[in-house]
Amino acid sequence: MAVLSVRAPLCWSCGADARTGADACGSCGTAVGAPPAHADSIVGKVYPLRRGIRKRHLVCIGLEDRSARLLFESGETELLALEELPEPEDLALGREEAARLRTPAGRLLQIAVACRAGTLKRKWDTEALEEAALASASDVGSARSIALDALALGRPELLSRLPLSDTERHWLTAVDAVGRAEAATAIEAVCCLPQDRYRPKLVLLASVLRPARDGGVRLGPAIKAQVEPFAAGEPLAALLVRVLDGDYDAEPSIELTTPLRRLVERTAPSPARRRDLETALDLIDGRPPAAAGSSPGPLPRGVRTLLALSAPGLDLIGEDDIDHIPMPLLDDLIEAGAVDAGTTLAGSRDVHRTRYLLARLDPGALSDADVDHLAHLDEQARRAFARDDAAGLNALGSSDVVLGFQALAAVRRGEAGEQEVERIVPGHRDLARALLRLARTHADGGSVNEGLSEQMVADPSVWPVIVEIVGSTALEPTHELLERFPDFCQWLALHQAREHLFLGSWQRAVEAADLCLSLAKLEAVRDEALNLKACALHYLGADGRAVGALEEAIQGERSEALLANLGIVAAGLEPEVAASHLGMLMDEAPTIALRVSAAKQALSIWRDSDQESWRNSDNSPLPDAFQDPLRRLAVAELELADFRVFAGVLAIYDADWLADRANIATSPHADSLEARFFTARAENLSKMIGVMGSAMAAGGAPEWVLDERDSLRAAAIDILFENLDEPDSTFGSVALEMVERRVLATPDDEVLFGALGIASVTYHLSAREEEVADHIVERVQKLRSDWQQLEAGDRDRVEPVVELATRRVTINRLQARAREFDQAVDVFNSAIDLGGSAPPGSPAYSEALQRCRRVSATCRAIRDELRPWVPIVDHEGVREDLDKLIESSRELEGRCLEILG
Amino acid sequence: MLERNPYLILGVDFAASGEDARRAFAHAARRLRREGGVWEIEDLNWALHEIQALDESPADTVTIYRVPANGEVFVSGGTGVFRPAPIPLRRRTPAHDEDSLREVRRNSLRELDRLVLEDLERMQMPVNGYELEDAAWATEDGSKT
Repeated sequence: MAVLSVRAPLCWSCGADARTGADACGSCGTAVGAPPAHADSIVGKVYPLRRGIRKRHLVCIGLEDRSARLLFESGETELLALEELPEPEDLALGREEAARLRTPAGRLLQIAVACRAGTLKRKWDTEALEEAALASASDVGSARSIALDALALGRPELLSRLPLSDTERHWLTAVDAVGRAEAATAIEAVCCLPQDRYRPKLVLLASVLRPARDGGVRLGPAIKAQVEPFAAGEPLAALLVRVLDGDYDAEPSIELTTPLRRLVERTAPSPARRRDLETALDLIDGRPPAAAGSSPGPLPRGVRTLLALSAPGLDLIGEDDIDHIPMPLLDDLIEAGAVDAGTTLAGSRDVHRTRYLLARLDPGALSDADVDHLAHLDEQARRAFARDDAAGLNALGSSDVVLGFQALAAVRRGEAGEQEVERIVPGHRDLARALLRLARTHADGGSVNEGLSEQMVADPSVWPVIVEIVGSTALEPTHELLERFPDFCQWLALHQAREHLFLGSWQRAVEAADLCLSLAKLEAVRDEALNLKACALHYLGADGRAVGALEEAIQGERSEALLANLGIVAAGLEPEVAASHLGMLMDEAPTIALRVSAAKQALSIWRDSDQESWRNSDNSPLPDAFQDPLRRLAVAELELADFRVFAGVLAIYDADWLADRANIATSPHADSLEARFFTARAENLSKMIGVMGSAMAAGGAPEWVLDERDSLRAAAIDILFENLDEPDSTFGSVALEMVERRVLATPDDEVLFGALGIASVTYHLSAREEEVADHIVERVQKLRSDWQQLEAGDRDRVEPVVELATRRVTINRLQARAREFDQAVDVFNSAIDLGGSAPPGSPAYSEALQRCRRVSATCRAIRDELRPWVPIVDHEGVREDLDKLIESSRELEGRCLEILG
Repeated sequence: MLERNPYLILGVDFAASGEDARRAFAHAARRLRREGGVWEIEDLNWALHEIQALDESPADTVTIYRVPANGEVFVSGGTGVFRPAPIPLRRRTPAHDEDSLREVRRNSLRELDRLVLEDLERMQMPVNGYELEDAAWATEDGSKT
């Protein structure tokens, strides 16, 4: 057998290796050899026979002499001479299955199985059929054939009734179970075999080991015991022992891999696979692979790691491998170029390994804390040097790297001596000496321009050092310098422009910025030069040019810094331009805080300017410059306080928009008191006072609501007093609403606002010759009552307003009654005319009397209403008018009564 | 009177920290005594106080002119003698470490055993217990059928 080293025939009965060519087993004497392929007879065939008037079906269950023994469905049997048998009947049982059966007994078993399952509608005694089938096993050969048929029919339990050894039955069961992919059954059967027999069981075990493990079958010592006796001679057995033990502690050796190599030779399914496995074996042996291909097939991780070490160019290591490779080998792989930095860092999950690998492959990505944690002295020194931390650098000891950086730091300060220069890496020493010469030239007052060399400006990292040594303004960007080092001059000019701004040298800053602009190609550099120039121009008072420079800078890419600067520079000269750029910032700034600042600044600029000149394309007062950005900002993720500010602005200056609650529905503060308050304010003052009153009624109204109340109170008082003699009653209604909603802080304020409101509303109605409603009259009466309750000082303070309200209501009602009286006089006169010419008792006379009665009632009502006002109205003229009307009504009533008798 | 910008007055970049402003104050004051300038010492005091008392992030203000608007363009690019590249850590593990190699070789043997078993799993098994010689695993070439 190819997989096995020993390829002897097997004694099926005892499992011993038999001699090739022997007929019987040398160990147990049982016949060796496979059972006959097929045997045929009439046994198991079905015959239709007429018995009486009915046709019966009979199965042949045996042969006796030249007769067949037939089984009836009744269970009876009968012998019939062979020549009397009719043609057998085809039962149409599974033909493929039937073809596989080796024996006539197998046919009997097949009929029994079909009858039991109901697939054959016959009533033959299945036990009798099986008994007959098994009884036909006359020798080991036929028993083995019947056993195979029983297994083929799924009846392994019948094997126990055949004359076979127990071990042979277990062997057959194991092979059958493997064929059916029943790993547990196979394992169980193998475990029943004698341990040192049935060598081919090794292959069966190898094929079911993984499925058995996956299926949760416990692979205990019994399995290992079945394998171990063969371990010395069969590489597969040795492999199974390793797998079952899980013991790989021993160092792989040639002694161990040689048998495995032989097994691989026999089992590899393809040449390529064999080559890959042999390569793996070479690597496990610690030898260079003899036959590694340029593109090996899928290999496991360990093998790929070993292969990558010997063949780094094969790109064998992936991200998933990184955490599984021992760090020393991963370092080997990195150094050999077998794995790149991206793969390594992407695959590393362990914090400690990742920190180490970062330090190895991408040290710039390490945090300072990580560098310290790793005690990576060279990188610590580099970082200390980069941040000009002399103390930090000195604390790192005296390695060559530290000494080198210390020397460079001294050069940077222009203070290094030759001894220090010698500590710098040789390739940089000439540069250091040139810089030191430049420093001396500068100190001696010489021309530093001439000291600049190609070597210095070729390295941009030296530029800041040059500026540090001689200062940016000491270098003159001469024509020669511009010719020789344009990149350096551009960079230098930018620095000079900034430095001149710091020194307040505005004109020189403009010149330096212009020089930079003449050299710079990069947009970012040009934008910055324009920014510096605009700043200088702003300080020179040339805001128009400054705005122009910044507007040029924001063409293309624009930044919040440039927009903010434009807002500042343009504010004095072109406020609308400034506000429109702040409007952009309100939309585009990277932080809410900056957007809010821009909005506040834009509002400030607008309020301080001549608002009439601003472009405004709708009816709201807010200008186009920032109206939409402000609306968008109002619904952004603002702090509540900022929302309050902007909602307050919009309530006044963009009321129609804010009044529509849907416009702020997306604001995180859409349900806040602020939102309710200011949208109500946007609708009208009355609704706002309603929200204010609700907030106060709920108790603990926030401070800003009280401030709004006080602000409204102050405005209302100013307007009401200013317009006391104007017929506009708008704020009179507001004042009364404030009283009704109880938003005012003190009783005297309530009296004051009530009186002002009544006075205003009454004046408005009187001017229209309309009578105040009765509830106003009632409010006056209550107002006077409340007024009486006030402290003396407050009472005196508000008395004039209370008197005014009383007087105006009195006059209003007096005028209304006077109008009624005039009408009554007309009615009275018409009654006199009518009654005077009509005979008593006539309808006209009755009508005249009726009119007199109505006039009399009217006069009484006028007197009844006016009399109470007389003592409370504190105005002589009004009192006289009241008295006159009262008297006139009395006279008219008297005349009516005379006529009425 | 000139519009006062606290950062310009002290000679520091916009949004410099209070600590940077304090250092710049000392420098600017010395320069003022030595060379004079457009600002007075009162301006320097005011500027330092403004920066130290700023109650919002400078980046969120729109009332102070920003110099520079983009600080990155003032940095000369690339690495060089005075801006050395980060220094990779030298390896701290032994090269060609035998213990690690042994560990990987042992793991490889485990993996190889598994591969061989996988190959055997894919082989055709005998159709019955008596006909082993016909099975693929029993033939010389071991090929699958």
